[in-house]
Amino acid sequence: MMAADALSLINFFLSILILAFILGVYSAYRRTYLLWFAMSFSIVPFLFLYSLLWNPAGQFKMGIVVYPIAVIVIEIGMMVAQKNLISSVKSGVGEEYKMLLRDDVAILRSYEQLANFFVRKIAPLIGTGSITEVLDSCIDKYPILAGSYIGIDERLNAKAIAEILGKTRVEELSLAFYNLVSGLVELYSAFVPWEKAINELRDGIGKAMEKNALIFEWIAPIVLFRTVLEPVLRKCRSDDIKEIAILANRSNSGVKINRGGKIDISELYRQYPERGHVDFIIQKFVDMLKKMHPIIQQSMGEEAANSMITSNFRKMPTEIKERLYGEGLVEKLPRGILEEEKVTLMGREMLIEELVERRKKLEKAYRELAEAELGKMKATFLDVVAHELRTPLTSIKTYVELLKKERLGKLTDLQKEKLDIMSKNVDKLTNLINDMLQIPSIDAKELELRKEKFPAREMIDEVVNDCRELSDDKNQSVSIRVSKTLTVQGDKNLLEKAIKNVIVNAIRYTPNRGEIKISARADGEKVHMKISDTGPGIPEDEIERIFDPFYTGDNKNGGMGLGLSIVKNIVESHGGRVWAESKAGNGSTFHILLPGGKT
Amino acid sequence: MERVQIAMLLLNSVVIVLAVASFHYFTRLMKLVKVRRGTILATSGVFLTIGYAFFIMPWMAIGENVDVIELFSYILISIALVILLYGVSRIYVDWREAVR
Repeated sequence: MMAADALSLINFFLSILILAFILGVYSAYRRTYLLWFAMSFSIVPFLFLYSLLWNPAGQFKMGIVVYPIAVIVIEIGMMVAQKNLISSVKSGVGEEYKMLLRDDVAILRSYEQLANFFVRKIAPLIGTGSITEVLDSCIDKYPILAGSYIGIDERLNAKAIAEILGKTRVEELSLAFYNLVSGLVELYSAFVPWEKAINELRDGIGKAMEKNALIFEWIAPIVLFRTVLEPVLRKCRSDDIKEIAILANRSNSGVKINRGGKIDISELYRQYPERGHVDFIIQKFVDMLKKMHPIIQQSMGEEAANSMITSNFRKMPTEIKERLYGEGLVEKLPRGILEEEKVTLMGREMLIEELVERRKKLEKAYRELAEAELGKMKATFLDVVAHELRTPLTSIKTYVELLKKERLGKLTDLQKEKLDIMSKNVDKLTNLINDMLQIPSIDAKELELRKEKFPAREMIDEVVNDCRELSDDKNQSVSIRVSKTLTVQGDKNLLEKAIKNVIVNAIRYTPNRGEIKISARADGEKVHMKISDTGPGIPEDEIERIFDPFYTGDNKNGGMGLGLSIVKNIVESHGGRVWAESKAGNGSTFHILLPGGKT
Repeated sequence: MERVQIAMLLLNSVVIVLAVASFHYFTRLMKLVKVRRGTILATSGVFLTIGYAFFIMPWMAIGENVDVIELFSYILISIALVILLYGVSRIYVDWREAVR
């Protein structure tokens, strides 16, 4: 039974994993039912362990009863957990309501809450008889309400609807409850002024929204049409109401208006689209308002009409108001309504844009400042280091020369030999420090140029002669193709130094018996020099950085990475440009563009 | 009939009664809560029940273990646990999102 044992082992680990997930949920959200689920499931891994250890043969046969006993315990645990969860959800308190309750059940609860808000107000006035009549007439028209009743506690009980919710649409539920709530508001307004009834409707909707924000898209039409628009219509002259009613009833707006100004939006619920409910409601409302607005203004006077509509908007429950304003309702309203809010919202948008713009500028300035500070610090630091090194080196060099000339006493041959080595190394260090002082990050001041005109060929020949020893050591051929009449304008010493750096680099990186080609030609008012080698080339991702100070890449030639940086500094200070082209394995070409000597 | 058979019959009749009651609670729960993975949990429950039924059947019928049937029941239980693992991991992710 190896296979069964292996499966038992796998099942053991699987059940441990499942238990870990259950405990994970419990640790995030400590609730008794989650603990019950975890506790009852924790028996499962032990069952698989037991099946690995237990031998079903012989005298241990009765050990099989462990399984049904364990299953009974698990089942009891699961039932307690489920019962606990059901009562927790039903109680409507705590996060379960928002997190676990099905959307349609939550919406039903909110409608029930809203209806009960009015039942509680009406029942003390006239008892529940009339409320039951309203409910019954709604049940006749909307069978979805069947099973709902006013209980002995004088509350509407709509739990029966939950049973069929999965099979019905929320639109139907909303339509039925809209009619029920409308009936209750009508009934209530028979005992209190109509305005008070509408105020209570606002309150009730606000409370329902507080408990469950999901109801917003279903309840927003009631708020907009019944609490914002209807009170205004009811104040209009009867002829104007008639005109508005004809206008509304003719169009396919889903809104019907009677002669008293009462708005019926039942049809609107039937027209609800599958998606984009809020856009649909806002569009319908704005279209209707735009049609009615001129007539309302004519009927009540422009100022009075606008101020009443604005005031009704402002009285909307806060949550509804925020959501509707957030969805862009205000901007779409006709002129004269909610003007202050329009200014505030637009002002806020402009302020945000301004803030974003300023923040970007500030960030840019901060970056530039940080870079400048860093550059300055680097320059100062290296400048100090370089100068502090040069002073003692000059002194060392002087004493070495004095020693070599035997002004301080006779020297043996060995001592002379060692002094030569010292002198060479001191020269090397001095050159390095001089180089450091010429790179842009160190010497912030512009180079002092002694500009003159001179033949490019002469300069290149001099440099190549200087480097001849190096190239000969590697048996490299150096070819020059530069016209003798081509002249360059600039500081000859500095330009020689720059060209020499590039050529020395080319010699260093070109293998033995390689080839270095130097050419130059006039390019408009400039002189374009090219120095090509047959070295290993520069990788594509490094080519942009080779002119950066101290950039060495994977340099195996031991340089400090200053040569090309100095070249760049010298060439650019002459108003020229330097760049490199290379393909790994195919050598490199350095281009130098310098001012020509034409007058 | 062996002693073990009688014990298994008695105990498993309790298991069946409790399973029916548990299913009743489960359907009631599903009408109220949006456990979107309800179908996954139910599928896992079905596999688990069938697996368990195969596991105990030989013990109730002949009072002995039948290796092939035991292996088959283990396979069904493994499938059930894999489905359940998927279900609870998805629920875990949902809850983590909600709690955050």
